[in-house]
Amino acid sequence: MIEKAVIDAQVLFYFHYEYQKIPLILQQLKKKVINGEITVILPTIAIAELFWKMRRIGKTSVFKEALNRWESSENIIIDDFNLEIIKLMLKNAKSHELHDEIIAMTCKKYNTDIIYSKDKKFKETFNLQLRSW
Amino acid sequence: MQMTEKITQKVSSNGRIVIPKEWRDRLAIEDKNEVEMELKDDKTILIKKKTHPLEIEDNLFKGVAPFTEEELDEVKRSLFPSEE
Repeated sequence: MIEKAVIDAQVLFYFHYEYQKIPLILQQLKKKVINGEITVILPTIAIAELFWKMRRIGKTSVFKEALNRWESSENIIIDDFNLEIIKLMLKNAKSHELHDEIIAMTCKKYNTDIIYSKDKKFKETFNLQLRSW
Repeated sequence: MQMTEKITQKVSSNGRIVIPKEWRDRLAIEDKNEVEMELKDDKTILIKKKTHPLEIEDNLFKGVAPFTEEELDEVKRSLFPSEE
């Protein structure tokens, strides 16, 4: 079975950054996506974060091109935030920061516990396998 | 001017043919990569290296700095302003 992992906005950014400056673990991830060895899930909330960054520096057209590429890429799933995520959140007794919880529950939705991120809360709070750099 | 190189290959069992190593190297075709095949009316079969959109190395975000911690906090507040 092909491995699945959720990625956050920072990882998404590095997919289109200068290759030599991309952290090694993310260079490897990118290569695995290209070769069909992993499927990455992009939560729409992470896409929105990157859009926020790019729009405020006047790079909307560049963001649009990146979005077109994700939409047409094999091994990339863009996950729309929906009721299924809310239903998974219902199982959590404790209150969490919504942003982090939505991304963590995206992992649950796709039956994976792998997340590429620098945010330690995904491991500490949601017990996910954090792949960081 | 476009150059065309030609070779003749024997087709082995199940229709297998080999892409010459020199051509594979030149196009960076590695194991597990995919190729697209097109059958044309003039009995030509065209084989193209399939390019994944992430393979386009045009440094789309060149000149943009990666997210800072402050930016990540700011964007979270932008998404959910009442959370603290």
